[in-house]
Amino acid sequence: MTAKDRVVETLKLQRQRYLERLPATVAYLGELARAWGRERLDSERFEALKQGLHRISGSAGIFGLEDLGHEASRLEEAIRGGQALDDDARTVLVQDVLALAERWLNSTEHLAASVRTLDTPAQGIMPTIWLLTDAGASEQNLLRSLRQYGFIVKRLDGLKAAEEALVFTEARQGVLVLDNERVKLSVALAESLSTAGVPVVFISLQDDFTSRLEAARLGAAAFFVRPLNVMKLVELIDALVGDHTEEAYRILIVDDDEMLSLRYQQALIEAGMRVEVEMNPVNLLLRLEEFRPDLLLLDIHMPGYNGVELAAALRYYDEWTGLPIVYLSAEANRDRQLHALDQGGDDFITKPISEKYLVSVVRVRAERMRRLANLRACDGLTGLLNHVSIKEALAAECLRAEREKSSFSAVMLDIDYFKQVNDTYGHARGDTVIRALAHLLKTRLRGTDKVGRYGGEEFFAILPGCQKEGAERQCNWLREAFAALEFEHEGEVFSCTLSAGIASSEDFERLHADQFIECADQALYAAKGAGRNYVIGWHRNLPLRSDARLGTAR
Amino acid sequence: MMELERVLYVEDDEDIRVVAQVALEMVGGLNVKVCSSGDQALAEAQAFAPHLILLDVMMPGLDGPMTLAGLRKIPALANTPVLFMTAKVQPSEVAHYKSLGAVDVLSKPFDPMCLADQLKSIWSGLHDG
Repeated sequence: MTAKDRVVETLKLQRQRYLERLPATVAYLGELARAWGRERLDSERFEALKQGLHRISGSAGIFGLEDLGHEASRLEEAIRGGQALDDDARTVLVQDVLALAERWLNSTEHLAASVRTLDTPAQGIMPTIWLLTDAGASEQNLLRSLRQYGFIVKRLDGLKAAEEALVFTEARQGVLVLDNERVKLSVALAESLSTAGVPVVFISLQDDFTSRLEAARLGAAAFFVRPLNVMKLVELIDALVGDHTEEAYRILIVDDDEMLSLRYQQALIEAGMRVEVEMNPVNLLLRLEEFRPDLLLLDIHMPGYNGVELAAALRYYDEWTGLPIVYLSAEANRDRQLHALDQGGDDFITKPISEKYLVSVVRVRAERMRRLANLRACDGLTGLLNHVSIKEALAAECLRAEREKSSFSAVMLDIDYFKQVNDTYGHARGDTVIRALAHLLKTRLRGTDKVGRYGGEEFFAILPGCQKEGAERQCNWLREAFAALEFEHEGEVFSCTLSAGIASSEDFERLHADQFIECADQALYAAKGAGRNYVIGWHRNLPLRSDARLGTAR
Repeated sequence: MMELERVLYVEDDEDIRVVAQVALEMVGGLNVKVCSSGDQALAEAQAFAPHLILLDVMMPGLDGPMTLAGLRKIPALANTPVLFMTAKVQPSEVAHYKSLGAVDVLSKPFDPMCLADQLKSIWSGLHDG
């Protein structure tokens, strides 16, 4: 590596770090600006706001974000008059700072830009959809639709351009979609893609077996025919590149034999699990509460305690009735083993045991536990949290916000005139609309947000750390994105709109889940009353739900 | 003429500090001492005996001008040329900073590939004139 390479490399890394921290930086400035707008900013934090803008104006340009730098510099200049500014001027500036924060908080542009210009390891962060076309109007639509669903889509004009652009030396997250009259792909490109682990999807005008066979020969992951069902394509791409990283299984070992426990722990950790050991059964309940394991490995014979009794006692707690318990014991007597299983255990491992066997028994059971838990928590049609789980998540968020003195917003969303969609286009098409909105919510909201299907066409979202203004912007953004989606039914194109009501922690003295739901619902009804395709934040003067009810057409 | 070797650089923003350090050390081949605050600079500058001092203007605690005033009280550094670096460089401000005793004002953002050359040319300008 030459000295110049080292310089370039160091600068690249520094830029990457800068970009990674940027969302947190601008989010903080947004918070300060908001407080300033409400005249609740002391001089020290006002100074912090000025200084924050000043820093960005000096640093953004160094890292290639000239636009950001110029805007920050302009705002810093404007804000310098400080507390003396009149109300209107202040409001405008607050809005501008919020807009800047919003843009750099949610924009993935900077990630995309860093990939293009720097070719850093960050390439793997966002999966890319490459859309290879021979040109034409319908492909423009596809490009737009895919972007609406939140994908990063790069367009490639023709095979030659694709061969130049898609050169990989290592694994890459992404999908190549070929939208052509017929199935075709060069062998060299197919090989390069397969090395990088990039799946290929064909969209063809020709609906025959020969085309499918050709696609299979080229190793395609899927084959679609025009006219295209975009929702199906979106779901497939999701399945191909979606986030499948599973959290490691969590295993708690309760055994008084330290040497043995540590050996088991080591074996399970090497198999990729998270493992904790507790040697004193007195602490069992506490450890379960804290660690929340997927599975408990429980010794049967411990001084003063019997594992079978412990298991039976655990089953008295509703919370732990479903926890898989696997006994560890030297007990070889079959009858006594059966008795132990009777008392609430799920399996029996006789010591000494091979590490390989231990890992496989534990993994199978933990996996089943996870799947059950997911099934219980998720809505079948959309994969979002179900009614019960989203309400639990809301209750948990209320507790957290009280404890940490943090803020959050809750949103009730509903598809406008959904009954008409079902009546006009059938329930299958209605389900497509519901799934499209679910997908939009999943991809457009942040990873820390929680989204659930609350009822038929009603959704509920929890946005931690987000106050009402931010939630309103977020919802309006979603509202516009949803209205822009086009659905097709037997050649007819239609679109839908949504309305949303928001309740935020700043509305209430004490935080209760029921109150959030009630107020968000009340605001939603007000939004419906205001003509739909509308977002309203709850406030005290909203009409009660019963007054706002507008017949059954939601 | 003595060649520019040792530069004392005071900057509170870590991102900019790292980039500037790379720009001065790796690109420019200079010997750089980096301080993250004015206080640190006042405590450690004399031992480093810099040829040139580069100060960020806006820093929490001791800002650039205050740091400059403090440095001037250290006899060994009373005549060491000082440059300011800041994000907003308007002619009136440049004049103001120069009246405080700075030899020049550099603007942020800077180009990391050129920063060292800029310093060197200011340095030789001082000695030619």
